[in-house]
Amino acid sequence: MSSTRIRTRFVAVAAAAALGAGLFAGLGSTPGVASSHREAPLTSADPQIDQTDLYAFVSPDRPNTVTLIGSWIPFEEPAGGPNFYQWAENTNYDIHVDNDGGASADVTYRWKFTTHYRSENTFLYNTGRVRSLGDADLNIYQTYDLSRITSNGSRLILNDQKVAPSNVGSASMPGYNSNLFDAATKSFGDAPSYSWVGQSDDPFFLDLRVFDLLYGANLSEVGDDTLAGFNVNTMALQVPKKALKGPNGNQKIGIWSTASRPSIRAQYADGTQSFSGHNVQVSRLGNPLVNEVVVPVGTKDYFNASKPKNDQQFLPAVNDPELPHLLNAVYGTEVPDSDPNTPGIQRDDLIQVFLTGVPGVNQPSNVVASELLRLNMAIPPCTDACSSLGVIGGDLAGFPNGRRLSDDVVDISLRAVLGVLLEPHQALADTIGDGVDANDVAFNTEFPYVGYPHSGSDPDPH
Amino acid sequence: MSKLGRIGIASVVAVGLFLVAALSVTRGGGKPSADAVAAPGASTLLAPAAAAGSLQGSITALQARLQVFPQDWKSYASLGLAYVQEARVTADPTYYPKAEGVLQRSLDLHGQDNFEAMVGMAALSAARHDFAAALDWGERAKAVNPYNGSVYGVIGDAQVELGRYDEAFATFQTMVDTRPDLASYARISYARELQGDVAGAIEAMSGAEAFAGTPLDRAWAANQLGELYFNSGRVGRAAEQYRLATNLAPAFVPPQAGLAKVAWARGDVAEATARYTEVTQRYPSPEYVIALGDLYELTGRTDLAQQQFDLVATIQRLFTSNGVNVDLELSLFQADHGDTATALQTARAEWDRRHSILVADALAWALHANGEDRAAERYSRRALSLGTRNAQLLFHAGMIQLALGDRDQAGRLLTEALAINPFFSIRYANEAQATLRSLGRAR
Repeated sequence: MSSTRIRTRFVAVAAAAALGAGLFAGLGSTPGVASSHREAPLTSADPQIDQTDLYAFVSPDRPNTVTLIGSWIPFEEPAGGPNFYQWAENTNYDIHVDNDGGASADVTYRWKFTTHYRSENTFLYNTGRVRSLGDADLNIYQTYDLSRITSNGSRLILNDQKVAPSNVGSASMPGYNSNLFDAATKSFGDAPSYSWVGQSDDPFFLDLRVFDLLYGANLSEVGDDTLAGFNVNTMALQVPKKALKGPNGNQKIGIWSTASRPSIRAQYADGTQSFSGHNVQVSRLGNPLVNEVVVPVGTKDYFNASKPKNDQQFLPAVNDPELPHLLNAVYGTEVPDSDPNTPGIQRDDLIQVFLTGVPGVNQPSNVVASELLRLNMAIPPCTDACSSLGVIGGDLAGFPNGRRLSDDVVDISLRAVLGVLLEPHQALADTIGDGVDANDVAFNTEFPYVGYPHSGSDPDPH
Repeated sequence: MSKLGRIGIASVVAVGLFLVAALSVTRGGGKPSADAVAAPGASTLLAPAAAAGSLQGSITALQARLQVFPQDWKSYASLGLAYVQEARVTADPTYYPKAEGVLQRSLDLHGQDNFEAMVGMAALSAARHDFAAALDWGERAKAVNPYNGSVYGVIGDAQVELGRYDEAFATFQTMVDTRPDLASYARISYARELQGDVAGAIEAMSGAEAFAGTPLDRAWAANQLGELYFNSGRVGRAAEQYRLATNLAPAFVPPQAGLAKVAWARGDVAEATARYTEVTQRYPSPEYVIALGDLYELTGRTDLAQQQFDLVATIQRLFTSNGVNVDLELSLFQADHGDTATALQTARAEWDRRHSILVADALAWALHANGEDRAAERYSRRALSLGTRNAQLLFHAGMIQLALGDRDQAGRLLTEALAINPFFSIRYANEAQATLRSLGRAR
């Protein structure tokens, strides 16, 4: 079977699955035999709280600042009308920073969104050509409030800022890139700080078929960026390093992202009504590909609700992950062991990558093991001999020291899992990968760095 | 879970739980990537997204995948769920045995902690109205993964249908505290509705709508809001919600039926008949077929009415032969259409299985139809025990009181029923008004 055909089929399954999930939720209520048996969806399609990736790096063009980027809503089809892609209301989108190694949030940036309809009489996203963020023909638009939360309380940094809309297509949104995407960048504060929220190309690149190993798929077939041509919703924030520094000038920070929502009461004792239930964390993300290495199988829901403070519980899984065993079963590769003299498998190398940071690179002193994206802000951005393989490629400014958009985290993770950080290690650990080494779209060289989104009028975005 | 489960599988929980197959990539702590829209090649197959046909597309894709990876038990579980869903979308219960087959295949391939197939079995059992089995499968799934919101959905739903309300409401509270989303807010709404808190039910359903991540989800919630408004007599607001839902998802049938009901409530029987005719052609659920028959009967077209009622019996047989227990629905229909002895038999059979307020109501109504009004009163009280503001339950209670000779109580109950919703039933709304007039308590 040709690679193209395989890819088409896999994308088709994904698409079908996605639609099916939507239907499952949406039509769950279709009456079965009669209305006497109430049928509600079991789970709802919640792409808006499905975070795809988190990035953190020292800004290459403003090296005294750090850029934090979060992407949400996977697989946005560019021609996704008529509703396009909105952030959820009544939801806290947070990026947290631990700046003392203690595994709790010392600084939190929080985005909250509001959806606006200029006309209640139409469902159209736009009613004519849209040439600016404030264009009256942009019928549905969103704004965000950005707050900075520390132990001193919550401070509103930006109020009612406009979100760059989905790129509907060139007829509806001529000059999208400059009129709408670039225009959504907002500077604030006295030192250079920038915020941007909108639709972007999905910066992640990989061949999803690496995940079919367990069904007997062959890695020799991979090499297509199965995410090519899809968009995501993205928030980007650039702040001075000093805004993130910890006590005693600590520059080794840990970053993670969450979404949370209010619960609600089934029964009221006194008949009062309110949405003021406690907040429930519904999503959590730090390192990429964490599910393959850190989170034990079947505990993904548990992980999504968990706190970094309690990540000690994941140590055993990281210490003897299943992936090397899987690869061993399929390919006969060696199962690495960082301490062959101790019975059982030990993976101090992976614990450093995923839980504590690498000593001498990004591990803070007195670190509490926790699954955070760890960035040493003191390491300058790379200017030459940059490697998309980051630290294992000799480039300390990349993953797992933070994560840049261009870092090939699939190859890095596969190699790390096969022991590339151990000496000696098997040869395959230096070469294994998914065959996709770069994104389908060029990244911007300036903030917000992510690529422009694929246009809804592109007849073949993939 | 097998070691092989590690890589591709870790990701497939939550939204993607049922239907994501190949793309269950885990891109971090976020949920799996379940929300793609059709890609080229897929799009022709899957468009229009809101139509039932796209679910068919998903089934086709899963079947194709299973030919390549026949050991993929996740996809078998997803396919099972898709079949259950397809049965609902098309009102074709022959999908249930198919669903059972592939879910069983999934469990045969991977039995131990196959959360997805267990939830699938729970959903299948619920769809067949075997709520005890649904509860059992739900509990087994929960033992595997108690951190997934959907498992509390299947358990709580089963508890509701079994009449175990205190447990059900506690389960729904756990569900929303585990994951506040459309699915859990919708159940909080139902819990409040059952307890007579209509305003609170509307508030929670509005919250559910605000969380809707897709047009279809939003349409679903809007339709539910339409029902809440209609059932509390607010026809105009109901119409707004039904229209919103049909605009968001033109292929979604329930709000079309809502608009038919609205037309009838506004006195436009011709439009109501036209709309119900279209609805039953698209989706021949007994509920809609009965409504159309009742409309014909209302306008004296008894032959056409009888055709619809005969069709109901045919549909019911089809459901029964595919393992769906329809005793509750059958009993009310039989009681309303002269087959009173059978009505009582079926209602008793269902009461032996479960004690929900709706089964209590059906049993009360069947007893009343057989002249056993003392016993009927007992079950009618039970039907009203949660304080549900449901006009049909109150109408039944009132007619039972009338038969028992308590005209005051009958008048009070009928007045309350009509105050809640004067349009509660095509068949009985007029009778309720007339009875009330005869009691000297016309509204």
